[in-house]
Amino acid sequence: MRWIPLVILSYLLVLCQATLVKAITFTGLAIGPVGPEILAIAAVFLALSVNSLADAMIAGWVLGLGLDLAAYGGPAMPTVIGPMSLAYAIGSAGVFTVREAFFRSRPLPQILLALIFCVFSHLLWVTLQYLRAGGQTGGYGRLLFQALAISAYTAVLMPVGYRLLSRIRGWLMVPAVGRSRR
Amino acid sequence: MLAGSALCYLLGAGFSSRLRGAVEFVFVPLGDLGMGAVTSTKANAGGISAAAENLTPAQIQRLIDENRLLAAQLNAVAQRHVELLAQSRRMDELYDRLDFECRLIPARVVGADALGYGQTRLINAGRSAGAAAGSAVTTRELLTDRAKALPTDLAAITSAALVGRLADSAAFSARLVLVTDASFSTRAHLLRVVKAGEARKILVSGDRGAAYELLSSENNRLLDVQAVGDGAGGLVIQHVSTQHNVRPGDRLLTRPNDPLLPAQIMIGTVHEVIEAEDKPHFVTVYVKPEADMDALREVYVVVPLGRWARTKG
Repeated sequence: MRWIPLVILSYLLVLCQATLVKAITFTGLAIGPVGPEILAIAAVFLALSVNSLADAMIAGWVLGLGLDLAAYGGPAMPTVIGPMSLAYAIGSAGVFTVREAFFRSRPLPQILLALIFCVFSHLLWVTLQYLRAGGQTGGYGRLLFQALAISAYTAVLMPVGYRLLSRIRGWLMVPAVGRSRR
Repeated sequence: MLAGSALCYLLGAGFSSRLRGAVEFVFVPLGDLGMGAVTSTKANAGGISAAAENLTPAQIQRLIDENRLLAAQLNAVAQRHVELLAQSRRMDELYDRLDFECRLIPARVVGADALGYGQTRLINAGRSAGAAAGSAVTTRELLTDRAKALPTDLAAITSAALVGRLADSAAFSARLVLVTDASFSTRAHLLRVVKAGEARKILVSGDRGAAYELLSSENNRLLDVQAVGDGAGGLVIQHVSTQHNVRPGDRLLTRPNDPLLPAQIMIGTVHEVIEAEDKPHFVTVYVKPEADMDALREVYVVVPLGRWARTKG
């Protein structure tokens, strides 16, 4: 794994997530805004592509930290930094662990893995932030529905993101030698 | 690495705010470009309906331009109506509604919340520009009455709308919490709009007890309410008595004795009134914000001056 390109990619993705992604975000819904999470797409891609579990977890952690720094609002205002980087690291480890059971280049497994990754990370984030707020803020149920909708939207875009990120795989990673191992 | 995340979580919101404030400035320059593209897309998309499929591009542009002009004129007329009501109630007010000394710090939205759970925006004005946490933020639409002579450092905010408050302020950036965020809450005034030909009865208390009267300019008292963001794009006002007969089209305004924004400007318009399930004779009022939050780009941070300035300590 090349770490400097990863940091640059993380910065660009956080920037896009906070700006350009809002153009394809659905607003005015009863559950709140629903938009894709491109950092999750990148995290799943990296977990499917890297050579070691440590690389997957570190990459996930870096992406999650970027998201934590750019996500101010939520159940607690301001939200605390830490839950998303934790969730991404654990989620990336999970994807890396089970990836041998899937055809990584097929869209359906990519969608499934992205969905599970997003649902896990968002539920963990919402719950930890809600607990941090002392459980005083209402709307926990709405936030859960919103998390599911965001996860579904992200999962649908996963194959597109995978193809785009595959083009810069050589920039991000040192090629594996021999067959990939668990 | 995982321990670092856990430590950040345990250190709480104060540490997180400081850490964000230290790094947010790196997002400001490029974020400005991104938000410019997004808000112009959202602003143009909002003015085109399905019926525009049969119109030429020139016709569409003409309709968009006319729509903007009409919206601005409507805002000016509505504001003038509010001003006339304010003049008749001046003896009951603690502060002047229209003209208060303030500094308007122009700012631009350069980023939104990365996750959709919060309704916040990152703006490119921070402590170095004078923007402090708690300051009110309005849209930056100026329509001035040309007959008025404006004082040197006072702007006429006749068509401005409240968009939120600053929650945090770093050196070169600040975090704006929109009125639609679930954590936003404000005391406000609900103005019932008297329309020609509309008969609306309200319960008015007098010397001889309470009686129903037709709503008119004489008995149209501003209602003191608590408005809260719903986290999904609007505001909610709970427990409004049915005797006030609030209807869609009524307006939510800021209170003129708010120390952070001692002026009466629009917050939003009532779009739905629903009977409260748990409380008979009360309704829940849903308000749509006046400002288009999706296309929000240019804003003013309002810093009161003179006798309206906050005292320290």
